[in-house]
Amino acid sequence: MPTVAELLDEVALHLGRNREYYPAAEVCRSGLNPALRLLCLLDPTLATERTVVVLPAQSLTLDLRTVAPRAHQVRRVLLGAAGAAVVSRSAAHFAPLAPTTREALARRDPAWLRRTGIPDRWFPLGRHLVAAWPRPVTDHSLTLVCAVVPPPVTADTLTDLSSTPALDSTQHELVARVAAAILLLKDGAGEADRGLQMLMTLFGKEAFTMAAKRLRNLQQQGTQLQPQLVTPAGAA
Amino acid sequence: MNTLSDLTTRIRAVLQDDEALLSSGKFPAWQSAEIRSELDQALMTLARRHLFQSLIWVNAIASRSIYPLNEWATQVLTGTDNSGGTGTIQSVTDTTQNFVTSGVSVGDRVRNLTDGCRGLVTAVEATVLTCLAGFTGGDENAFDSGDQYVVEHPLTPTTRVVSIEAVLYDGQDLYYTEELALDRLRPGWELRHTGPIYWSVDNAQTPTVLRIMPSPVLTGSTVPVFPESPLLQDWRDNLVVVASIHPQESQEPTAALQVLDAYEDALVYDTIARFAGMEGEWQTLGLSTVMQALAQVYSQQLGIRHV
Repeated sequence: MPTVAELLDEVALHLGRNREYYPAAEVCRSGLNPALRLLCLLDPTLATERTVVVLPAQSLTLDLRTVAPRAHQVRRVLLGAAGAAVVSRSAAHFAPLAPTTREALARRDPAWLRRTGIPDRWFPLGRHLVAAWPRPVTDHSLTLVCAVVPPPVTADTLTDLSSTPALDSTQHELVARVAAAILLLKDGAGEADRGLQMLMTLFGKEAFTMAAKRLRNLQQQGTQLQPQLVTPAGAA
Repeated sequence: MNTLSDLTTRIRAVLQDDEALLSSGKFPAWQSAEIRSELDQALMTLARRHLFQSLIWVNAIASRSIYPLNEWATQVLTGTDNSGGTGTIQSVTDTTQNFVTSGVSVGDRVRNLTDGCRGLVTAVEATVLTCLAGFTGGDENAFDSGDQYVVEHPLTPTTRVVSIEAVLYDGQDLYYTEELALDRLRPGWELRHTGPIYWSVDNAQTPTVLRIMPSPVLTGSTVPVFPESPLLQDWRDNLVVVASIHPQESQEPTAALQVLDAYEDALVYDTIARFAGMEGEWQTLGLSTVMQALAQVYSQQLGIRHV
């Protein structure tokens, strides 16, 4: 399995002559980690995670920031514990909860919040909270199946370069190219243009066309202004 | 979960790399506080798009219609200072009260109705409230014996409400309406005492000032209670507000960022774009442009139309 060190080498290849300007910690922090996250956002099936949590009696919501901070999309909610190793019922129940919305619940039953029982539905409240309805009268185990962003690669301290990045190795070439492109974006007009071209190739032109046009206009304006800026005082 | 400090470090790393910024000598002025301020703006932009919601329990008060959610508006008690002294700058004394059993807590606000000053309660004893930071905003900024005071509790002590999505009273959803519509439907609704049926906001300028129509009459409480688990209390004493909130009131550098990890990149790139855009030079405008494009790519993947 490729290690973080090998992934860093791969990024360096794509950075070309600029590689010496990028310390490993910077490549991890501002290149590899954003690239890993972007790829997982683009394809939510790349990284998913099961988290078993306890919904206390009378409670309605779970805060994803606490129970699954790397989640960005809740895909399924199950009543019962269905983690990687152990599958068990919760108070003799094991069933998927049906997705709904708060508005739909309120339309059907204005007193929805007062209802208690065994949860059979779930709904999101914004992006941080997940609610299970009706509110349970006893503690229940829930399993959240979420699309997640991978844990950051840990080379920031340069002590763990031998670890294996979370995303599958088949994606590493793509990760390295995206990381290099993101790193190039902040390196002045010429390099930024190269970074944009790389991202356009990878993700399609639509997202970056306007930025590329604007960048070219700014470069032209800058080139026109440049001679005036360097004219020595009193030369005229 | 990263801290604000971690994000600031990441943002500074990009800005410091920018040649134009370094050569312009402007970087030293871009301190962490300014970065955090822009980060706050980026978070507020997300908050206005209803990304961060919360259920907020507000104590319903009999005959009270207006609830300004971001203000110090829940009245705990009123009284008169009887300390016998003048010019007391850090405490309020009232031997006719028991502040401890009345529900006054640290963080509440004392307002001097005679002098106009106010201060935050830092310690609560039976007959004395201490405000170590003193009083501000009045004529003398002090308490004299005989001054009338009111103790207030913040309605939503830990969050800043951005907008209200729904309101429940007595455990039931209230209908949203506007006052003019209610005038047509139920003229004289202000005088009706049938308990809350509708909710509205005071006006578009103050979308966090909640109006309950008609005002609650069923509640048995006139003194607010702040239960740890409001769901277990009498439903008639609770308004439940589904609100969009700003998730990061605390701006302490060591505070954990109160958003899911997936939002970090969108916030970082948006903040950099805001900074670089402020400079107005062609090189930094270029940085701003590409960072804004990158922020949008991350935002779109998170289902946010535009940061």
